Amino acid sequence: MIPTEQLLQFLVTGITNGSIYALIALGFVVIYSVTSVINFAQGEFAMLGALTAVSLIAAGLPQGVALAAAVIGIGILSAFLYQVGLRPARDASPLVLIIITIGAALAIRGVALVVWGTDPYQMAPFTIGSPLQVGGAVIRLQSLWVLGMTLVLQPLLHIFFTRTMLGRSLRACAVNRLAARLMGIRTDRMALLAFGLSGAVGALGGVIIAPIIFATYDMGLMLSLKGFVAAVMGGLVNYPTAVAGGFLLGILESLGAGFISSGYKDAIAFIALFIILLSKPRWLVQAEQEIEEGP
Amino acid sequence: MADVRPGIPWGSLWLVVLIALLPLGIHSRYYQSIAVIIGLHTITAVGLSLLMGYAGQVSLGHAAFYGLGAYLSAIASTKMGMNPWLALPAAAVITGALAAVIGMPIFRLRGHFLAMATLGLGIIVYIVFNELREVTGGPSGLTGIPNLWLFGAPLNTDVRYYYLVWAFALGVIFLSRNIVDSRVGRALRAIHGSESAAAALGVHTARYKLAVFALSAVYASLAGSLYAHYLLFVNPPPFSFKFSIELLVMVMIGGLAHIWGALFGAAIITLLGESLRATIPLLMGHAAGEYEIIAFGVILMATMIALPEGLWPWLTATADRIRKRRRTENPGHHPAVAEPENGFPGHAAVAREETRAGLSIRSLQGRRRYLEPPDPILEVERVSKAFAGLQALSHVSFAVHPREILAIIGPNGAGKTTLFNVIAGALPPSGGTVRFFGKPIQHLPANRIATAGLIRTFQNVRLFANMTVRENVMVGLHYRSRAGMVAAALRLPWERAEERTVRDEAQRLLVMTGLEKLADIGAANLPFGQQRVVEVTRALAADPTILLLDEPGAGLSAGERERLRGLVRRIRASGVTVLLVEHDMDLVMDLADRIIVLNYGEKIAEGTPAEIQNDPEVIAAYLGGNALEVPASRK
Repeated sequence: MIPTEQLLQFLVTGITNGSIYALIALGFVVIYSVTSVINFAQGEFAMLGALTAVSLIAAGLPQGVALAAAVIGIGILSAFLYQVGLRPARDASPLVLIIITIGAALAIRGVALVVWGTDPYQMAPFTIGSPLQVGGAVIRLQSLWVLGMTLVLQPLLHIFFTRTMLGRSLRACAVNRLAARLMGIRTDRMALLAFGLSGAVGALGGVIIAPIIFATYDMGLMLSLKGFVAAVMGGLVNYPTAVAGGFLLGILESLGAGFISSGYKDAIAFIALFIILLSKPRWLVQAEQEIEEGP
Repeated sequence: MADVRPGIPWGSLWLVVLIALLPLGIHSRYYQSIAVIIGLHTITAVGLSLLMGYAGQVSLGHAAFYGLGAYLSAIASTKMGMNPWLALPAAAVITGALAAVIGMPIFRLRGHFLAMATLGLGIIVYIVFNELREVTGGPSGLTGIPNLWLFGAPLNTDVRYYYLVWAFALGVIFLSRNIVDSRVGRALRAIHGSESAAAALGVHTARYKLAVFALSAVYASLAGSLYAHYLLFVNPPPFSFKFSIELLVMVMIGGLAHIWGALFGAAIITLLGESLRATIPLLMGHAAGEYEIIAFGVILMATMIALPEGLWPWLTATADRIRKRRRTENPGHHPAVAEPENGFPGHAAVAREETRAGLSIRSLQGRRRYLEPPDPILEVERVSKAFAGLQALSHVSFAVHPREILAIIGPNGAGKTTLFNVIAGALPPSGGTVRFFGKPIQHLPANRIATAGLIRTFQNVRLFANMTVRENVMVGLHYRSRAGMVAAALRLPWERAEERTVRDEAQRLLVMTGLEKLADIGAANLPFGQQRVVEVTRALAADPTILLLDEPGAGLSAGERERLRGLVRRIRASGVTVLLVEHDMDLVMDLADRIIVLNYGEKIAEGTPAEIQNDPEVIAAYLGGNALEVPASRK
């Protein structure tokens, strides 16, 4: 029999890790649904957010200011990436665009290596206090921050996309870019906004998890991949299900690492990805039809 | 492009001589080892170029196959004591088989989903290399791998190994060039151009994608095995995601669909990586780290933005331009893409043409045995198709008789194209039966239906934009010829003979439809009207017993439409049954023997043109529900 406390502890760890996958998945969904681009640099934004915030705090800024500055700064950087990297090639095939974002991810990672080196960095938790004990499982206060942020952000994004004019314009671009342009929506500006927004969301994910994990220059790749898997679990164009996908992936990983082998932990995400892609849900069939009929 | 020009390929020959003489000029062991590594990367990149550049299928996990080759060779020759020369092909066969099995589900995916699945595959294999310690030695790897021996001597110096690796590399390039310039190569490029159009011409798209994926895995495995017997040591890091990306960059720089470009890309990227590894520590002080990835990232982005075709094609094109400028007096020999009015063949072409039956070429398989098809040749029974919330077709039934021209008309959104897609196997019906030659075909994939003799064109012309007009037509002859990958790679005499026959038959068809002057122009560069003619010619090449034309008159000028009318009549006269979707009522009323009218997915009328013109329900459908206000001018 598996002890209940242990199971509970795995769940807590899984939900905490799942939160960051969820935030990165949200970033994928924002960009994909507005521009049909899979932005491979998504996890790099989380890495940059975490390391930038750590450095700003070390430079003497108050934690709250540093976090906000990191999130906003990375958002602007992400929009800049669209402007110089993707906009000039926006009529290219989806494959060319994905390769451009891979190039961007590599370059960002290399620059981070130059700036921060290979050392791991950790940030002080947002609130000081002893961990909670719930049913034998230990819950760090920062885990509550992580979970809370994720759960608040998802409905905020949902309201933004369904209730505000700007959000609706963004969604219009997703449904039909040409029609949106004919309706007077500046689709280029919308794409810029989508990149900025998802960069900021990704950076936020990095910032809130920095007190729990050690942030390193090379953590972006795995975060990108797992965020993508979470987004795919949620159907790639749906915010609440992307968040659920993140939690599910986090829990699966933590259970897999606990009960099977921690070495194979990273493989779990990709096995999950295979199972979903190969079962061909309807949204995937539809998305692929658009790929075939597009250019 | 992939066309082989007659005569001796001097450029390639010079390159071979250069490769053979290179070790004489390099005495540093370091540079010799780089030359070996470039050879290994070339072998892998050529395979990836076949997969990505020709077949248009991406792989972000090819390092896995390189690694599998290395590990399988290492394990077989150390733990199992197998002769390395046996281990190498064994590893290649196992890796190829594994790729085929894994590829079967993966290649049902497209675009970025395929990219992500291959990436996941690469990462899983990498994790297995690290974790399966009893077999792979885990992170510390496997040592004690034996040398390869040849002619009684161990290949234990860089120069000896250089010749071995480059013999393999040139062999792989040679075979791949042959494959590219063959029926198989055309099929791969057709899949790249438009998968649905390739399938509609009888190309077994799934099998070709799988075959080229397996072949590229075999190349990678071969290179990996050679790598293992070169370093005599394997551990996981060289087979990480980063190497998959490096391979991708090599192929991109080399310009995707260029076999020699893969060599160029492999050389550039390997040299660049090495020189960055050597110089960056000097510039930056602290030595550790993989700083060269910044350069890779930036190069990858810049190439994709500025030269999406790749650096190598850009260089060769520039060299061509300079050479041409030297010979200024020579006016361009390209035939002008003029005569946009001349989309369909005029009377001269008609005069040149005899009845099609007398013109079939001996060794190509046609369906001549079906010259007496059953009546009805095609039966559609209670076919329905529902999309999410939309009933596109409901219980549509009709029969098509041999050698008739049956037109399907109806207002926009009536379900005409959906009906075509269901009949041709592009969409599965939600219910009902389609019988062709008396046999149900509604469950068959598009390529099987095409090989049975039912060929369709597309409403929004789907040419293979990456191929010339002639090559497009030659893809139409795909399933009437039979050369496979092995015959193509080895250029067997019968394969060359068949290739000539295919070329002749394509030429005959091009002359027949008046396209012979445009034959060697890229299909995408033609004006729209002529693209339609190319598509019809391509469909005729597939020797249909029944031809489905989806709005062939749309977007044509009056003159072109006139010639289209003549062409359709001649197609029917040669014994082909024609099913036609068309909006141009003059054309339909003039051509069709019978007409079927669809409205909101239901058949509302069927009959001769005269009957249809006087059917009140049809008039109502076209005029918006009020049949009483038919204008007097309407016949």
